[in-house]
Parts: sequence; C-alpha cells; structure tokens
Amino acid sequence: MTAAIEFLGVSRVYGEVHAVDRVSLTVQAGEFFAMLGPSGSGKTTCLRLIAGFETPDTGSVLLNGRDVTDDPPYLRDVNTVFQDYALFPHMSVLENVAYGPRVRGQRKEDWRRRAQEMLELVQLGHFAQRRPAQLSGGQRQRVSLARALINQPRVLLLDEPLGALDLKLREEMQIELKNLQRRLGITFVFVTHDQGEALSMADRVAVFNHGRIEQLDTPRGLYTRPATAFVARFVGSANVVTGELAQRLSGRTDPFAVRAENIRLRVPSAARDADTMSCLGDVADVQYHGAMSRWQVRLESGEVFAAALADVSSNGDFKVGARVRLEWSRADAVPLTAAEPP
Amino acid sequence: MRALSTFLYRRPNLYILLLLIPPLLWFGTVYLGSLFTLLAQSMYAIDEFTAKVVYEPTLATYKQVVTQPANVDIIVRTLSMAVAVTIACGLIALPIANYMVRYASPRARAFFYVGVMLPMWMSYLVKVYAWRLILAKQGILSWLLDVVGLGAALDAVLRIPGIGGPSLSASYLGMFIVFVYMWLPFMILPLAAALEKVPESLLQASADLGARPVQTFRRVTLPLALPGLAAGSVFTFSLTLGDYIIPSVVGAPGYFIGMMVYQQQGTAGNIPLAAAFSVVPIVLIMIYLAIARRAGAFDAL
Repeated sequence: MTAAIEFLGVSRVYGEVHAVDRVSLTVQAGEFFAMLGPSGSGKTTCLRLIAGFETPDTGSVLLNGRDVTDDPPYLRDVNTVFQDYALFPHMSVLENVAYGPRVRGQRKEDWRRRAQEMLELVQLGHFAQRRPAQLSGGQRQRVSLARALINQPRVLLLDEPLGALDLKLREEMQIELKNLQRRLGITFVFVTHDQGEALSMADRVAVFNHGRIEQLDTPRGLYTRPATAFVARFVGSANVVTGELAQRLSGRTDPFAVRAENIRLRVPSAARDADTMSCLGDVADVQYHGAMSRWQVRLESGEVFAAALADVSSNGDFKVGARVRLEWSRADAVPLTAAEPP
Repeated sequence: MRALSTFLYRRPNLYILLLLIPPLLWFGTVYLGSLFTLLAQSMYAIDEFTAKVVYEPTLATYKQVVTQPANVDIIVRTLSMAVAVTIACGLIALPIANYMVRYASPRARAFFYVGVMLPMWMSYLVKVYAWRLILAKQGILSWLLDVVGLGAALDAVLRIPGIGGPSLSASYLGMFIVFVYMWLPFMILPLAAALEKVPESLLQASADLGARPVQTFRRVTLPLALPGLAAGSVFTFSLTLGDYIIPSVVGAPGYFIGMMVYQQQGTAGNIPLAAAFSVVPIVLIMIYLAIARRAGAFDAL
C-alpha cells in the first residue's frame, strides 16, 4: 500500500507564529484520516498545504509518492470541500458540479451527463437548475461534495464540512460521508475541532496543538491511551492528575488521566476495593443528561473532578454539597508523557 | 413627548412617512420637477425669424436634433468618445482594482485607495488646464517622448486622421486621455467594491478544481466583477456624455453634446434645442442600461 500523503518536516510560519511546526505524517491510501484540534492549532493550515493553497517554508509534501511541494493547486490530484462550501454564486448547481470537467475541456454532452450523475449520487438530481443561494445548508454541502468528487481525486480534503449544519443533519451527514468513503475507496482527510466527529468517523486521528501533532492514533487508541495531558483533556475531557495530587494518589509524581466514566462515587465511609485509587470531595454540581449524569466534585485540595455516571441510584443519591468518595481502579489511570510542548 | 414616541412606535408606517416627507418633497420638486420642465421645454420650438420660443407642443426640435447632419455628427462624436473612454477605463481599472483587493498588503491598499481618490479632491478645472499644458506641443509629454526617442512615433500617431491633430492637446486622442484620467476613479472604486465581495475561497475552489489562473479569471473573477464594471461604466459613460468643459479646453474643435447644450441655452438662446440635446444622453444611458441588463451584468447582484 502506497502513502497517499506524506509530510516530511513541514513548517509554515506567519511572522512570529509557527502555524505548522516541523510536522511529519503519512496518510495511507484509502484511509479516513481526521485532523483534530482547537482553532489555531495548525490543522487547517496542514489541509491547505495538501491542497496547495499554502507553500511550506521548510519541508516537503508528497502526494502518491510524488513531490508536489511547489505545485499549484490546479496541478494536484486532490479536491477540497470548503468550510463555507465556496459554491460559485453565478452558476447553476449543475454548472457548479461540472466546473472541473469544463475547465479541463470536456465536451458539453459529457460534462452535463457526468454532473447530472454526480448530483444523483448526492440525491440532488432535481436541483440541477437552481442557484446555490436557493439551497439549504445541507444541500449546498452535498453540491460541494459532488463538485469535488466529479474529478475522481485520489484524495478528498474536507475542511470542517459539517460545522455549519445543525445537530441532526450533522449526524446524518457523518454516516453518509463514511458510507461514501467506504464505497469510493478514496482517501479522505477530514479537518474538525469536534472530537466526537473525529472519533466516530476516522480510521486514524492526528491531534494538533500549537502547530504540532500531539498524538496520531486510532480513535480507540486516542481515547483509551491518551499520550499527553492535552489529548486527554481535548478528546473526551478526561480528568488529568498532576503533581502533589498524583503523588498522593499513585505514589509517584508522574501525571496520569482518568476518564469521567471510570470514576465511581461512594459514601465516604464505604469500604475501599482493592487495587483502587480514591479521594474525598464535595459534590459541586450535577447535570442530568438522560442516559447518564455528569457530576462535578471539588476535592479538599481544590481540584475539580468530573464523573459521568450511568446509573445514579447504584451510586447513592448524592445532593449538591454532599461529601463523597471518588474511586477508580488503578488500571483506569492512564500514565501521560510528562513533557508538554511549550 | 413620550406619548408621541409611543404613538409613533406603534404606527411604523406613519413614522416612516413622516421621515420621508422632506426628502420626497425635495426630490419631487427640485429633481423630478426640473427634469419634467426640461422635457416640456424640449417639446417646444423656436421661431426662426423672431428667435422667440413658440409655446405649442411639437416634435420639430427633436426632428432637428436627429436629422440635421451637424447635430447627428455631434451625437455620434460624443457617443463614440463615451464608448471609447468607458472601454479604456474598464481595461485599465480591472487590473488595478484586482491588485488592490487581492494582492496588496493592507498598507499598500490604503495607499492605493488614497492615490485613486486624491485627484477627486482637487479642482476639476485645475486638472483639465494642467492636462492641456502636459499635452501641449512643447509640453512635458512630447518632450519626454522625444528624450526616450519616441517623438517620431507620437508624430505618426498624430497623423492618423480622426484621432490625430497638430498636437496632443488639440486632438481627440488628447481629449480621450484626459477623459480617461478624469473618470478612472469612478470605475476603479465600484470595481474594487465588487471584487472585495468575492470570497478568496471561490478563487481557491476554482484552482482546486483544476482551473489555471486565466480560466479562474474568466470564469469566476470577471463574472463576479461584472456588477461593479456595470456600475463604473454607467459613471464613465454618462459623465463623458454630459461633460462640456474637457471638450472645450482640450482637443479638436468638433462640438460635443454638453457644449451644444451650454451654447444653445446661453449665447444662442434656443432653450428648446438645448433641452432636446439634454434628453439625448438620458436616452442613450437608458439604452445602455437596457443592454447591460440583458447581458446579465446585474444578475450577480
């Protein structure tokens, strides 16, 4: 299997800011690859470096084994679904989709037929003659997808494509995109700041922070074995324990993370199970979420722990202000790399 | 006071009407009123012997405008100049506006905007007379062309019948240069405003889909700049059609519509003919707008 995309020590600097800082990564052909991170973490710049809208200051970008570092976007075999969809307002939906074949000089009957086929693929066959302004957000999203896929790129880049959609539509599109990717076998590179989206759709996820990749792993790997405090907090908001508290709980100062759903609440007098860590605190807040409830517990030393409990009754019915014992098994404490990048 | 506020707040239509009455009165009497007076004047004719206006509705004055060869010449001359100036302004303004909006750094962009608008803050007459000196036979432009060895080329251009003349300042070419200089800001500013509304991502999407820069320009930038181009061309076209100072200060001796209006309502005292000539640019601009609309210039608005 060849690598669809390779970054070799790529940096992009704007003035003083290292938007992308010596990033190296490999995306396999046919992979659904997510770039996850907060805004300004460098994930979108990485996407733009692949598309060719940006040129790296150092390092090189390879597509299908070929160095394309200095190639302009129109010479690269990748297509992009833009965050704002970037549909041409002065063209009909059909003309938008047919744009790629048209600029490549395809004959009119060919591009008309192909564009119509692509619109059928995204279930917008009836909207061919409309203007983009007459479509809903979800429909524009599909047009943008059809317009990118008509060129049969080897890599499809998606820049937060679901960000502007409402929750229900976003969940539908997540499933649809995943199915489409499986069916077409194209490499998808998906940029998002939504960790749920990245976990549910991607084969592998690169977590970006300050222009660097903090961790590159499968969704399960990221969730169960976060490498750094940043990843532990950003992906599934785990409790990160450091310094004195870590020393007191585990006997060592090395930081570790505990998922909220691995924490149990007990009455302070309850007997401790073997092979667990535990500490005392006061319930600061409870939020009911239906299937589970989220608890905020303030420890005596001031830290606030989050606990997610599936079944409230089995953990006792604690009120806000009640004293509780937090408890989790030692196996659920995931050690983190101490060194956080500056 | 408060009761009045509440009363008006509950009746937004009345409130808007009260706000609009002063401007509507002004617009209605001063603007439309004078326009209709003008139209009415053009429907009269002058008595050839007494040189007095005969107040009976007739189309004789219009007939005079569109049939007398001298008058037709004036219209054709003015129209050709307006078309040429508009095309030249469009061709020059497009790259400038595109550079200002797309490529210039924020500082350079501010510099460009000031540079474009600065001449508009200076007296119009001063600029026209300055150009007359620049274009004169012994002026700085012909001197400069001599220095770089293009003096012969200038002479050759000035020998071309129709646009040439004894010197640049006494030729239609010179007049054309001054017109283009004068109205260029009116083309650049609306064009820049239109281009500014085109998101960067559209140009990136075009390149991403395989379009070379020339294709992106032709298929995306130009169609989206068209409303700005149309707005700018309405300015350059109508300003050229109506102007009478530039043709009287610079250029060949042939009459333009504006000069004709000025002369007929002044020294010649033929108000109906002046009025009829004034209607010509109005009609031409209406025709121009209809053509632009049909060509789809306003579709992207």
